[in-house]
Order: sequence, then structure tokens, then C-alpha cells
Amino acid sequence: MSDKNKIKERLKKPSATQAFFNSYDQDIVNNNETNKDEVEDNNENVNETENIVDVEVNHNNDNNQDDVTYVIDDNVVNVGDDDDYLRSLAVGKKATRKKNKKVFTSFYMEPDLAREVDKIASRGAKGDKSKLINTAIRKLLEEYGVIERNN
Amino acid sequence: MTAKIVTFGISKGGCSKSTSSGITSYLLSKEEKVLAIDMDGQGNLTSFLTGEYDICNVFEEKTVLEAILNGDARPYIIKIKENLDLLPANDFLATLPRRMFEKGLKLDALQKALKPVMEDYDWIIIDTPPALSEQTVMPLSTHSEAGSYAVVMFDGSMFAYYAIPKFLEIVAGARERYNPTLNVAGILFSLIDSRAKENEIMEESIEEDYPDLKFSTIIRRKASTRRLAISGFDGNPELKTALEHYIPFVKELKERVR
Repeated sequence: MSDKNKIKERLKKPSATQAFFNSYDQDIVNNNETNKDEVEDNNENVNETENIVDVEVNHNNDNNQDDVTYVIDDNVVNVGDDDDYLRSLAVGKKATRKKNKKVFTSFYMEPDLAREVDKIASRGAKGDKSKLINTAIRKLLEEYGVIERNN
Repeated sequence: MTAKIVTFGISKGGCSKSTSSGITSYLLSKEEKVLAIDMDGQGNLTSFLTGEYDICNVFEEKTVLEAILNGDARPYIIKIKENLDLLPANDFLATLPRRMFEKGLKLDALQKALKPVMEDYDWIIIDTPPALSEQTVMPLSTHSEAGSYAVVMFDGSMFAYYAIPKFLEIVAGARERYNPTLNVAGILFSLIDSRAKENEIMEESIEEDYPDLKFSTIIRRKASTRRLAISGFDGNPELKTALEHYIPFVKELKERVR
């Protein structure tokens, strides 16, 4: 990166004050998502399992991806975990699912990317924007070998 | 009447925010109705105005924290003297961000809590902690039709010099998002050592960096002012000396926010 770009990057970096105010904007979005999570968490396990299947099918159909990682609200489940989860349900054991912690973050996007992401997210449900960004970054980092590829 | 709001702040400790907000409240209350609000969990303004230092027990669940969480300040306001009321604070104010998050409250929560009393006072004077936090941002985000203002405290140190732009950025953020009529009333010097050779340079720098913002009055810290926290205002034989620099400051403040 050239010195000029480095300086530009530095200038673009949000200050603590901006991050503080932004966190409240993100909190509002997250609260809506959390409320949705709570409602769904109250559903029966059977319904939850059905939802998981639906999301998996849609995900694979829509994007024609071999990637089997998918996100349902704040639960990140891969097939291995899902298998164990369903197996536990099938044999009548108490089923638990791994929950990944979510973190708030804010960053600047290039305008054309931001427009496309917003366009895609507007066709989906709440939380889909996060799913898209997470999926994209995960795939990139897998490709770079920074994180392990999910099976 | 609608209250004018004046918030004392700077993102550095020890710049006389509590003392200045307390004395300003006291002086304004000689002629008009004042509500002082302590937004700092250290509770120094609370102790300064009440003479009470066991704030956790005495003001247990009777503070600005509960006022914000319940959306109404009225049950938590205490009378200090004629024309002067206080919304106190104690250490439990540290739980405010977490509690606000749990309740889904936003940065206009103080505004909502104060709405029922906005017409009861001429002035609302708010002391804030030296940090970027809800306790600092909410007072600045509180709008009043009569005007809301920030007084930036400055102790003449390099730390405070670099804290000024940060505080002004908070002011700008609050103005942009919540309180479009928020203004900076000025930068108030409160010098620890009035003979320090760097004071003059600092004064020049502030005047250059922030033209017309520096108050003409400079608070030169005195032992008698510090002893107000021990002796209080009533019957204090050295009151006149203790308030010497604050009387012209309050006069100047009133002119600036008129």
C-alpha cells in the first residue's frame, strides 16, 4: 500500500467517538435480531430442526455453493455439529448446539459493494446482511489459508 | 419557563468539573430555579451539594440511574435549598450502560427522564465524568427549547489540551444525531498553579485554536474553594473568597447563553 493510501486509510479510520455513536446504531439492529432469536428459541426443537433444513436447502440452492457452513441468527452450525445435534435428538439425548459469539464491528465499505450488499439484504430477512458479509469473509480467509475450511 | 441546559465536561479528570458545576448551580440558584444533575458515578457533585459522603447507602436506588431507567426524574430529585434541587448519583451509575442495553434504551434516555421537569427550572446544570460514555454523551444529547450548552473545562495541562478536541468531537456527534441546537458556551480555564510558566502559552494556543471560545474569566484554584467540600456554603466565613472567580464566570456564562 502506498504512503498516500496509508494516510487515506488512517484518515478514514473511525474515531472512538464515531465508534461509540455507531455502536448505538448497530445496537438497534442487533436488538431487533436478538428479539427475533428469542422468539425462535422458544419454538419446539422439531420446528427448529425444520428451520435449519430449510435454511440449508435455500442457501445451497440460491448460491450453488459447496460450502456447508450456514448461519441461523446467532447460531453457527456446521454439518458435523448438525449431525451430532440431530443424532442426539434422534436417540433421545439432550441436544445442545454450539453457539458462536457475535461481536459488533463497524468498517467502511466501498460504495459499489455497499450498494450491492444492501440490495441483496433488502430481498432477505433481518440478519441476512451479516450472513452475507460473514460468508464472504469466511470464504476469503479459507482461501488464504488463514482459517480452516469447513467440511 | 423552559430550562437552559449547561453540561460541564472534558475527557480528563481533575479539571474542576464537579466543583465548577456545583458552584455554578449554587450561584445561579440565588435568583433562578436550578436543577443540578450528577452524571458521574464518583458522586462528587452529590457530596459537594449535600455534604453527604456515604452516597452508596444514603442514595441507594434514589439516583439519576433509576431516573433514566424508569424514564422519569421526578421521584429522584432532592431539595438542597430554596431554588436548588439535585438529581444525585452514586457508584451504581457504573451499571448504566449495561442496564440501558438490557432495556433497549438509547442516548435520548436522559432527555425522556427530564421531560416532565423541563418547565420547572430555569437552569439544568450537569456534571459529567471524564470519559467518552453514556454518562457524558446523554447530557449533551439532551435538547431544550431554551438552549443547551457545553462548558469545556481546561486545567492548563497538555493532557487537557489534547482532550479538548476529543470532547468537542463528542459535542459534534451529539449535535449531529440528537441535539441540533447544542452549542459550546466556552472553554473555562481552571488553573492549578496560576504561576506556572506554560499557562501563557496554553492561553495563546487555546485562543488560536478555538477563537472566541475561551471565557475571559480564569478560575485560579484556591484552598478556600477546595474547603467548600468540607465547610459547605451556609455560614461559611470564607465564602466570598471561595467564590471570587466563579462570580464573574457565571455572569459571563449567562451573557453567552442569553
